[in-house]
Amino acid sequence: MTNLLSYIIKRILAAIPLIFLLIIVTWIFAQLMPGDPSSFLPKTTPPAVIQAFRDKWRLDDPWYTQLWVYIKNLFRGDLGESANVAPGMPVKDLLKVLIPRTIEIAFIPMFLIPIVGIKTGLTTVKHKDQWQDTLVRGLAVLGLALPSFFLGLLLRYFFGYLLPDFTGGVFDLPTSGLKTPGYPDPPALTNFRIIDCIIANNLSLLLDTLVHLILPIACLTFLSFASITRQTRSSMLDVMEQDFIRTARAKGCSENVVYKKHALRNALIPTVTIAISDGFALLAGTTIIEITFNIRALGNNFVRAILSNDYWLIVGIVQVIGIIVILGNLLTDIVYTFIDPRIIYD
Amino acid sequence: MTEVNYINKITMVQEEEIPTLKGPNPAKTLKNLGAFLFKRDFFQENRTSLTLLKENEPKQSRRNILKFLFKPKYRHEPIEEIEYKIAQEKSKRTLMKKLLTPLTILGFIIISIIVFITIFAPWLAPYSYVDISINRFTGSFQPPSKDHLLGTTEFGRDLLSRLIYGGRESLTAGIGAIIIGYGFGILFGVISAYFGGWVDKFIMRTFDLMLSFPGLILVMTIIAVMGRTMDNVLLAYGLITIPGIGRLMRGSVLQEKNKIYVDAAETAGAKHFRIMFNHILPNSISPIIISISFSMGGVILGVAGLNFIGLGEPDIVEWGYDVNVGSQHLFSAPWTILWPGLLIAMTALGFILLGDGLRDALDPKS
Repeated sequence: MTNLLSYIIKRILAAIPLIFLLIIVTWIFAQLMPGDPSSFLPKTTPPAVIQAFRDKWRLDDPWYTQLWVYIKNLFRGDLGESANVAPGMPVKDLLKVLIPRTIEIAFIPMFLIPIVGIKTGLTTVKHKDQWQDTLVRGLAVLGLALPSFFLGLLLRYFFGYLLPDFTGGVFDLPTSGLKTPGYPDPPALTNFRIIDCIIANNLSLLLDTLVHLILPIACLTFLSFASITRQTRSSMLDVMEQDFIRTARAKGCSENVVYKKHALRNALIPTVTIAISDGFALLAGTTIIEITFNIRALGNNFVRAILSNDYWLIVGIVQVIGIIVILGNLLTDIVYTFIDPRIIYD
Repeated sequence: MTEVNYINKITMVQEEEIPTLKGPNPAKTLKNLGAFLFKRDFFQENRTSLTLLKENEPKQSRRNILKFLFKPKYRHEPIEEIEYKIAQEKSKRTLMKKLLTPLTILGFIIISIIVFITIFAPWLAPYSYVDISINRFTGSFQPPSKDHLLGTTEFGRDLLSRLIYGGRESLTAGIGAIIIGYGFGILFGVISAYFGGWVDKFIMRTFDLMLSFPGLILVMTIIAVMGRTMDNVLLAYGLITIPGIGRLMRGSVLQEKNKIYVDAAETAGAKHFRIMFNHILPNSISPIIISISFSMGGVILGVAGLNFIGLGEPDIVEWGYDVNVGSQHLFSAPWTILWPGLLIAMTALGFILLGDGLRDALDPKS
C-alpha cells in the first residue's frame, strides 16, 4: 500500500514541472504570433490605453522581463483581458463561465460512451458473425466515418424542421443553444446551469436546459462509442481463445458468467484506458459540436478568439485546456493502478 | 496420386520448353541484357517460371509419372525450387483472397471514383474554377434546376462544380500530411528505438506531451500562430500525425532490433545509418503501411472539420467550407450541406473500409 501511495505522490509531483513547462511553452507559442499583444487590441483603442497596456505587460522590456511579468500575473490570477470576443472582460471571469458549460456538455457522454461502447462490444462478441455483430460493426464504422458537424446538422434539420413539420409542431426538440431565447438565467452560483436551476428550485428552467442537451449528447455519444466498441471486440476475441475460458466453461459456468466475469474483466484494461483518456479529451474536443449546435462554450470561444485575434483569450484557453489534459492524464495513471493491480510501480 | 501427377507435369513441362527458350538469344534484346549479364541464374529462372504451368501432351507426362514411380530416387533437379515458387504463388493467392472481401473492394472503388473525379475535375465540372469562386450578387442558394443540377451556394456558385473541385484541397492536404507525418514519424521512431538511452527518452517524452493534447486543439493553436492558409493546415496535420506513427514505429523496431541479422550487419562493419534504414526498416515497416489508410481518412475528416469551423483558408473551394456556408441557411437550403457532407463521409468511409481490409489481410495477429 505504501508502494501505491508513494507512486501516486510521485506522479503528482511529476505533474507540477509539466504544468510549468506548459505555461512556458504556451508563452513561447504566443510570442510566435505575428505582432505583440498590444497590436491585437481593437483599432479604435485610444493611444493612452495602448500605452497603459504596454506598461502593464512590460512590452518594451527584454523577453525575460516579459516572461517574468507574465508568470507573476498568472499566479496572481490575472490572465489578461479579452480584447474582441468580450471587450474588456477579464479572461479569468470569462473562463469561469465557459468551463462549466463545456463540462456540462461533456459530462454525460463521458459516462455514456464507455457504457454504450462496452455493451455493444460485448454484443458483437456474443453474437459473432450474426446480424447483431454486423449491425453494430456497421454502426461503428459509420460513427468513425461521419463528420461530427454533418451528423449534427442532419440531426438539427430532422428534429428542428422535418419532424415538427410532420407532426404539426407537437414534437419539437430545441436544436441550438443551451436555453430557449428569452428565458431568464438562474442566479449564477456555480455557473453550472443544471446545478443552478436545482438550487434555484426552478423546474421549468431545468427541464429546458436538459432538453437542449439531448441532441449534442446523442451526437457526441454516437460519434465516440465506435473506438471503444472496436477495442472491446478485438481484446474480447483475444481473451475468448485463452485456456481459462475453456476451464470456466468446463467447470460449468453459465455463458453469462463466462462473458461478464471471466472474459470481460480481463479484456477491459485497454478499453478503460482509452475510455478515460477519451473522456478527458472530450472536455476540449467538443469544439465542433459546440459550433454545430451554436453553444457558446470553451471551444466555440476559442475559435472566435482565433478568428478575431484575441491574444489573452487564446493564451488563457490553451493553458486551461492543457492543465485539464495534464490532470486528466494524472488521474488516468492513478485509476489505472487501481483497476489493474498487476501493474509495476517503479 | 493426383499430387504426384501435378508435380511431375511441371517437371515435364520444363524439359520440353528449354529448347525453345534457347532459340532466340535473350542477350540480344536490350531489355534482357542486364539480366543476362548480371544474373547468374538467368536461364534457370526462365526455366522455372510459373508461366510454363500449362496442360501438356498426356504421353510425356505418363512417361514421367512412370519414371517417378518405378525408378528409385528419381527426381527432377529444380523441383524444390518449383515447389518453393508454387508455395510463394499460393501465399500470394491466399493474400489476394483475404484482401478481396466485398467491403475492401467497396472502399477501393469509392476511393478510386473520388480520386478520378478530383484529377479530371476541369473536364467533369459543368462550370469553370473561376466561375465557382467569384462573387455574384444574384442567384444565391437556388434550389436544384436544369442549369445547376444540385442548386447553388452563396454568391450563385454552382454546387456540383464546387463538389467536383472540392476534393482537391482535402486529398492534397491528406497526402501532404501523410508524407510529413509518416516521414518524420518513421525517422524519429527508428532513431529512438535504435539508439535508446536519453535520445529515446527525450523523443518519447515529447511524443507523450504531443499525444496528450487533443489533436484538434493542437491544430487550432498552430493555425492561430501561423495564420490561416491551407499549407499551414497541411503542416499542422502532418505535425500531429508524427507522434502516433513514431510510437508505432518504435515498438516495431524494438522487436526487430535484437535479431541476429542486425548483429551480422554490425559485425560486417555496417554503419548505424545503414543498419537502421537498410536492414531494420524494411523488416519493421509493415504495420506502419497498414495504418496509412486510416490516417488518411482521419486527416480528411480533420481538414473538413477545420474548414467547417472557419479556421481553414477563407473562401476556399472545399467540402467542409461548403458545409459551413450551408449551415447558416440550414432550414432554407438543406441541399447545400447534404452533398458536401455526404462526400466527406464517403471519402472517409472508403479509407476506413480499405484500412480495415488491409489490416485483416496483412496483420499476422488477426
